[in-house]
Amino acid sequence: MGLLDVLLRPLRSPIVTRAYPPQADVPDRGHRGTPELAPERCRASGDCATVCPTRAIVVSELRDGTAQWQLDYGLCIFCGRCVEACPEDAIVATGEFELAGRERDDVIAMHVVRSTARD
Amino acid sequence: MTEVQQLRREVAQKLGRSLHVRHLDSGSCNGCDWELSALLNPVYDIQRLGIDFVASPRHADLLLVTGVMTRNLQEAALLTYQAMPEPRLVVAVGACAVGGGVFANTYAASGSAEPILPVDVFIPGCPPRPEAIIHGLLVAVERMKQRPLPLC
Repeated sequence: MGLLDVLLRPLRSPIVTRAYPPQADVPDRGHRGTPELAPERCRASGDCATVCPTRAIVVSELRDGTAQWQLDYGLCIFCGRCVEACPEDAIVATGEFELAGRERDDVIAMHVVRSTARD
Repeated sequence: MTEVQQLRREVAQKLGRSLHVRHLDSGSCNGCDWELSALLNPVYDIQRLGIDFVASPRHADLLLVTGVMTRNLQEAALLTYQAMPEPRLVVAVGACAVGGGVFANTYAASGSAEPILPVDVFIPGCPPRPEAIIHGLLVAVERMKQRPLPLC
């Protein structure tokens, strides 16, 4: 009986192939997705850059009370430490994965944010 | 029309919608390689898109590079690229091949794939999801558009 079950299982099982493209799979709960910045919440504390193990995040102070927040996805290992470290919860792990780019600069995200570091 | 655009048009004309891929491990931790092998399983089934892995660079249209470029394999990577017929594409998969990753600055590795091989598409991730690799491959043959990241 066991052998027959093994032989019949592929016939009984449904289609498992995902419909991507265009429809992507939704990752399981707890999946540490792509870190993305909500620039309106960011205060440029730089904590994310400090904890980043691969130095993918660079926060640099600009002159007029703003700062440039830069994340190089080409270096990011998606560990989620920046998400945990951010005091403003400005970095969110999203399910986004379509990050491929034709140039090296295409996989670098940049935001200009308000800076309160010198207040 | 630049040389790159011309090459892309040539690739689209000659390859049509099918693509044969040679996987080159230039010093990977095997994380990306597992994701690549997942592409062939029934869940992702990349062959339904006309994409398949081949055993020799001489049969391949596209070179998938995973892992940091170790000094030991630099020459082999270059020879693999040279063995491919033109037009040829190179795709870097994973943080190591794209940016050097966590193994970049060591005595045994020279960093990312880019200075050794002319990379056409970068797929970030550590490792990238199989769907991300499918997206990158389809971006390489211009069957899907790349998603622009925020730039201020």
